[in-house]
This record gives sequence, C-alpha cells and structure tokens, in this order.
Amino acid sequence: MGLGRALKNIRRGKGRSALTLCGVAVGVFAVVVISGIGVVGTQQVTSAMVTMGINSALVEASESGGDIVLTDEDVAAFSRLDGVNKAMPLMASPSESKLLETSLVCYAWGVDQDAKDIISIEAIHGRLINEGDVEAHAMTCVIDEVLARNSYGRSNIVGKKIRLLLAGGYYDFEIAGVAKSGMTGLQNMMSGIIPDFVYIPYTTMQDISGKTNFDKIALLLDGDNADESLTDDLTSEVNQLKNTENGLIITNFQSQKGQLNNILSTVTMVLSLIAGISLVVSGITVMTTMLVSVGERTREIGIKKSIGAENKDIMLEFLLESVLLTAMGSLIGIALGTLVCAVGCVVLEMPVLIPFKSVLLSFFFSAAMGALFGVYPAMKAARLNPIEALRN
Amino acid sequence: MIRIKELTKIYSPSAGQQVKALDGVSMEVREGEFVAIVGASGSGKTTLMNIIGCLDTQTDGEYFLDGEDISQLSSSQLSRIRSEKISFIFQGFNLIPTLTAAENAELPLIYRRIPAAKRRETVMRALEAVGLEKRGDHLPAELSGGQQQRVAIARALAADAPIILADEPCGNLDSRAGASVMEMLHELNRTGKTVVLITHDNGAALTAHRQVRISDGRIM
Repeated sequence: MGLGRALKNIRRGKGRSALTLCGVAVGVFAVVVISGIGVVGTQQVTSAMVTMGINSALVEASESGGDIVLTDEDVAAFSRLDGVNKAMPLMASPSESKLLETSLVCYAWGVDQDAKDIISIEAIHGRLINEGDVEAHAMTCVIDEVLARNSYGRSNIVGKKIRLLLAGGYYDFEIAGVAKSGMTGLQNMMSGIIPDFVYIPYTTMQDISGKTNFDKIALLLDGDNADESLTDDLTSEVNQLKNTENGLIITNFQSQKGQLNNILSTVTMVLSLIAGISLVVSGITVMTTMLVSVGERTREIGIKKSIGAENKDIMLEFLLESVLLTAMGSLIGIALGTLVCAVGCVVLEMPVLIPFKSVLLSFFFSAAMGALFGVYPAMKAARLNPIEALRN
Repeated sequence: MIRIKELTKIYSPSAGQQVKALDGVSMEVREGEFVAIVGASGSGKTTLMNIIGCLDTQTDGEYFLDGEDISQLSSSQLSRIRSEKISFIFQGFNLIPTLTAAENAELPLIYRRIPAAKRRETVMRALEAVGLEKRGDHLPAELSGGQQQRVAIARALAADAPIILADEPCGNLDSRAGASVMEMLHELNRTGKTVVLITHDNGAALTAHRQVRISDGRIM
C-alpha cells in the first residue's frame, strides 16, 4: 500500500523521475560493466597462466650470467633435483609464419616430448612433438589453433605445410598437430601483442640457429610444493651445479600468476571505485529530485499533517520514494550492464561471466544511497510546520 | 471538552516585531455543542482554530482538550490527537489533488493504521452519507466546489473524530452549495459530534447553538 502510493508519486513527477532513474542506472551500469571487465580479464589471465603450466618454472641466465650455457647434462642434472619432476630444454625465437597467402607474426618454441606436461599444451588434432621428432631433428611442428583458423578458416590442417622464418631464413615444416590454445580469448583481443605459438623439436631449432646449447630449461615441479621457498632452494642449487653466483634465475609461473592477479584486482578495484563516484553523483541527483518534490508537495504535507499524519509517516513516505527511485534505477543499470557484459563475452568468444558480487553490491549500495540522500529531503518534509505548509 | 483560559498567542514575523494574535482568550465548548466563532478577518479567529485544532501551540495560557494539557505534548502526540479527536473542514477544501475522492476520504484511516478492508467499507459509507458514492473515483479537479467540500466532509465522517473544526467551510461556495454544507454540519452535530464553526458570516453563525464573537484577539 505504502509502496503503491510511493510508485504513484514517482510517476507523478514523470520527466524528473525518469531523469533521476537514468542517472542512477548509468552509475550502476558503469560499476557493473567495469567489474565485469575485471572479472573476465582475471579469468582470462588465469586460464592463460594455466596453459603455460601452473607448476612450471623456467631456468635461464640472468643479466649478470650472460655467458652461461645450458646443455643436455644440465637438463639431466636439474631433473634429478628435489622437488623437480621433469626438465625440458626450451628454445624460443620470434618468427613469422606463412600459411597459404597469410603471413602472421608468431613465436617459435623449441621443445621436446615433455612439452605436454611442462607447458601444458594439448593436441586437438594430430599429435604433439614426440621423441622420434626430437631424435630425427624432424621438420615437423605443432601450431596454435588460432594460426590454423586465421589462414585456413578451420582448425584441422594436419599434414599441411607451413613456412617459418627462423634465424634469417625460411624453412618448410609439416604440421603434425594443432594445439588448443587456452588463451584464445586473450590472444584474439591482443593479437599482435601476444603472438601465436608454433612448437618444433628443439633439436631442429638448434640445427637452424647453429647453437648446441639451450636458452632455457623448463622444469615441471612436484605439484603440491610449487611455492616460493622451493623456487629459492632450486635457484641456489642450480647455481651451485653450474658454479655461478646468481648467474641463473628461476621464474615460477605460480608466483607470476599471483602478481598478475594482484595487479589486475587492484586495477579493477580502482576502476570500480571511480565508477562508484558516479553512484554518489546519482545519489545527489536523487536528493535534488526529492527536494524539488518536497517543495512542490508542501501543501499536501500540510494537509496530511492536519488530518493526523505524524512526522514519521511523512518521513517514511518520502524515504520510501527515494529508495524505490534508486532501486528501480539500479535494476535498470544492472540489467543493461549484465547484458553488455554477456554480449561482450559472446562477441569476444569468451566464457560469459557475470560479476554477481558487484551486481549485488551496487544494488544495495545504490539503495542505501537512496536512503542516505533521501533522509535530508524527507526530514525537511517531516519537519514542516503544518500551518505554514497549509498556507503554501 | 474544550477548555481555554487566558490564551495568548504572539507571533514574531521578524526580529523585534511582535503581533499579538490572541490576547487573553477564555472559552469553553461542551461535548455535542455547535459553537460559532465569529469575527472579521484579522480578528484572530483562524489562530484560535489552529490552536484548538492542535496545529499550533499558544504562547501563554491554558488549553485543555478532554482534560489533557495540550501545551505539554510533543509534536507526535499532537499528531495523534489530531488523528483521533479532530477533523478539519477548510475553506479551500484541502484535498490532495492527485488522490481520488475515495482516497482522500481514506487518508486519515491510513494514518490511524486501520486495515484496508475496514477502510474501504468506512469510506464507502462516508461517501454515501454526503451523496458522492458514485464519484469515488473522481479526482478533486473533476468535481465542483460543493462536491469537493462534501468530499472533505466525507473525510471527516470517515475519520469519525468527535470534534469537527470548520474554518469558513462555505467561503468558496455559492449560496446553495453553502447551505447544503451547513445542513451536513448540523446533521453531523445531531449524530453527536461537537462542531466548532469559524466564520465571518453572521447568517451562518446564527444557525449555531451559541456564538462567540472575537475581535482584535479578544472575546467580546
């Protein structure tokens, strides 16, 4: 009943109420969309990190240890260390691929048969690099699904030829497999920043580049103790093995993931706070609207008081109106915001994620804002002197 | 029922300026009486009505309503007294323009927290009593002045307060509508309501049981 009357009064100030609703809706919309982007972004980065191997660590020469070379013996020695499950030589080279007429920037990785476990790639068509390829220094490769789609428009192009630019020359490789790229969404969005990957036997890459050593050694750590202290222990052990002091460093993807997530959530929070300011602004709009409404209805308030309305009746009436106004506005904002988030996710081929926490939070925040900014006008209305209000 | 003694009301429209609207007014109204307070405009009769109606409080003097000292009450207690004991009928009708006739008549019952079903029934009977049972869905603007004043009377009827304060109820009406409103006030009085009529119209005042004349804030 009280709600019905409040709705009626909101409808009475049509244009004004509509504008106020818009203000609240825009504020809530901004909060929902921004936190939506944050949630989706975090999810994407997390899945990308999983793809790169959450339990993996990378051993490479530090800036001070530029002349250290990593060899087969080191791979064997590292793999025997405590806490290390497997070790794999890893070489990397920026490259360019030519498939049909399409030329794409990509990144070539020299790997061995353990790539599946250590950097978590998975074949969706054909196979991954195997031991035979490594021993035969084969001209075979595994490419990212994205590369296949960008050239042939489909993912299964096993058996086709790809031309790769390595060490200044073009080499033809046969595509043995197509790997699922867990970062599809991210790579799509940032195509050109994060290039697509091509995997070839590390022995082949050594032949082409004329190197006998490796750039890096990738380690698969024992799943349950891939933490910071293990990384520290391993760092000193590998340095000891190679007789250097800080010549080698170990990068742990796990800790990188943590750092990245921290940065992302901070950025999301800051952006959401900025969007939250628009909520405060819309709260002030609500207050203005309610003040105008109180002014317009002074006589009505006087009449109500003369027939027995108490201050708290009048107060509640106006409070209900302002809370209802913001609640309706925020529902509109939430509906539009989640719609935009969902459509955005679909367009970018990402899993649809709705930031439920922010949705709930901004709903209650804006309703509270309605109450907070409604208090002053409502109090003003409630405290009107009935005689003066009637004279109005 | 209403007992006023040496009542004084002083307004200060601005600092240092004082207007004595009521100057030592004493009067009494017994239960079931129909009293007319008669005076020219500016005589203080509206101020007196505002105080009797608990919309305003006196500067000095005593006002007892049903034995209760009104000057000691808080604003919410005053609201409750207005809600339970007093109904106003104003010259300007004072209906809420966005509410229908029935909703206007219902309003005092809402503030008295009476359940909806009971409210509807009471309002229906009140509108019937003033002959507006078919106009319940009309907004005040769709009704004539006389009809609007009858809605106000229906509102008072629905509220069923023992005291009716009518401030120039016929002031904005033609003589026929005015006569019908006066007749309704008398009918209310016959059913046991105490009616206080505030007017400058001697003719209307003479229909009351008793006339109290007020001039320059004093009872003559």
